[in-house]
Amino acid sequence: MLYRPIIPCMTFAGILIAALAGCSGGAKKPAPAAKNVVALYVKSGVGEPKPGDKVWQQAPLAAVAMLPQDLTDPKLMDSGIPSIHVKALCDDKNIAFNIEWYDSTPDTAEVEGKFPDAVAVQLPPAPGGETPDPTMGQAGRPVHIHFWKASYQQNLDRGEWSLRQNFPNASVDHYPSDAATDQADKEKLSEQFTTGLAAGNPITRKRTSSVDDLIAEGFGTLSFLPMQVSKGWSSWRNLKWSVVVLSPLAVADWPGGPGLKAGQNSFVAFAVWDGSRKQAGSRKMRSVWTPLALGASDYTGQR
Amino acid sequence: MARVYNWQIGREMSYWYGEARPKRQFAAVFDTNKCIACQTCTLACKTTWTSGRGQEYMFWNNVESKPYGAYPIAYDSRIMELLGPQTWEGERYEGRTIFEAAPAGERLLGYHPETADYAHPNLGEDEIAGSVDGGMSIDLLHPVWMFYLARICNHCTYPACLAACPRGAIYKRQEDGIVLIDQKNCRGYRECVRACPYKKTFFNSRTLVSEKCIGCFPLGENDTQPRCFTECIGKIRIRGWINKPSEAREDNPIDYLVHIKKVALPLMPQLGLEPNVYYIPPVHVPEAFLVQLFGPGSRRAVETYRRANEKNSKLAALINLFGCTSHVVPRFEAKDGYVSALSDKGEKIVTAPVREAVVVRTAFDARYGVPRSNIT
Repeated sequence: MLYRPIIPCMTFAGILIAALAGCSGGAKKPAPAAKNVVALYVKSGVGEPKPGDKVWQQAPLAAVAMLPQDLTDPKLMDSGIPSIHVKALCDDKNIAFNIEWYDSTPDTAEVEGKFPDAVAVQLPPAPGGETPDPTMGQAGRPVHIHFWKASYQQNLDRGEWSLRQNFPNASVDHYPSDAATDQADKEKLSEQFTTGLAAGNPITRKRTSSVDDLIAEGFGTLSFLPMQVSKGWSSWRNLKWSVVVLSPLAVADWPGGPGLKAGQNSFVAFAVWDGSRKQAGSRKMRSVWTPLALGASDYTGQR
Repeated sequence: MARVYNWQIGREMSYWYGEARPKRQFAAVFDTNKCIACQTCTLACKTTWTSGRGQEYMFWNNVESKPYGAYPIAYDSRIMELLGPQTWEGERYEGRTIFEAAPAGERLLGYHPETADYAHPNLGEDEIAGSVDGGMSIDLLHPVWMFYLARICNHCTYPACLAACPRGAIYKRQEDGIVLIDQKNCRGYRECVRACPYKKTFFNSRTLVSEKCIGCFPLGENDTQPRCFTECIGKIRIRGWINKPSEAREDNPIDYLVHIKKVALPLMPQLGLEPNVYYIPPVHVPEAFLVQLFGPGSRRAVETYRRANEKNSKLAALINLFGCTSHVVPRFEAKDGYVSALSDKGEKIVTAPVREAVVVRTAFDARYGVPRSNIT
């Protein structure tokens, strides 16, 4: 697996550009990646920014170091994604994160022996310096988690599930549910063999977003928030994932706290999974709480 | 980790949770000597439970040809290789279980199969160890032999899948000891798939959650044996309940076969899960292989089984009861040449002769004026 050293490259690029700027006396020096995440306030609204949209260009870049999850078993004992780069946008209702990291293999399939790449954004449900435990919150002090998975994105893009999406040459003689004549009966019969769906597990539902809105009060307590509203978009180019997670700052039905407002200071934490290393669940790289400033400056340019 | 007692290895061992045996424990005995690998059990299960989208490669019940067959590929040799050489001292296992051999940062020793490992569920079918004609050109580990091993979830007393789930989404039912995955709370991390050394938990790529053999518990709740039992053509299976060795009952068929006559043995007991499906080992297979697969009681089990007719009419009678009823068999009795399955209250469920009466008919049927092809 190839991981490019992001920060040294950026530093070298910065020095090079600074030298050229000194010679020409005109070029603007890009700001080095900060350690804090500053969400650029977009007066006209964040909208639905995709990876690579111009709106991201003026957002400050933050480099966030990732640590192996080594607090609860099973731990991540081998290496994972060492760092991610984050930009953020906000308006009065939403916050969008653009998270980028190097990964030489885009793992989008989620089948028996294959795990998908994934990233999660963790926010405290209230502003201020008294944050819950950064490792998925603690009893009585939950955190909200917005979880993007490459397989969710793939399912969303490809539509209804088919075995041939991941195994193009596979053939199946017959599914019993196909014997039904009308669609309603087919779905009813199909549910008999789709127990996750029959049990009401939201993870099995027909996907309308590549992001799950979740709540946790410590390891092993992750569950779905009552309203699923976040969205996500992604691209994988030049050995790099670029994922956008768009979430509301506050949702009245979300328990745990009032949410956040533009202009407030809070914190954000991240987790990232490398599917080709069979990482899932607690086998992940995670960050500590990173300071998050909402709406630091105005953006008036094109989106 | 807690300390728990595992009677199959004759000692206490480490486990993620404390000892919590259910009120009753689902248990079964499979007679490998009767299995013909017709796969009727496999299809009975497949059509009942795993015919949906995302379950295409799943076989909660499978029958593999030993020594080379394994589903998923090499699941048994992989875990034994990971565990490394271990030792038994008599009936006491002195080696490490998969819980005791857990690497740093893990709850137990396991591995995750690759997708292709599931693609050939009957790889090695009917392949024998060695060649039949012309003598042996090379010395192999085993002489010429093979046998069929039918497998379902073992509904273990110390399930590895349950220990490994970081969400506590796997549970063991108090009423029957059946191990289930909570379909509502599973998030598809597949720690259970990695953990189960028998590889009897599976990931459903349609629902994105894991699934496993449920021991046909809806049937069990009506005192009926699972589908793979009742459809078995070879009548190799019997389902009942097992007690701890100290509470074994003479009239409980599973207790009698496992604890009293010690003719039925657990699969890879050295791994430490206390599995609850027991096997009467094949009588023609080298002891070294049997010990590896069924533990140190293999030789005694084979000898007892071979001589059941001569020395133990009750055992021979009970072996005849396999497959005679679709009812769960909590008790049995053998007397006067007949064997009966009894309910918990002692009511007769079914009675079968220990030896079928032989009737010889004439080769020509005068009534219909036709020759008979079967005269006995």
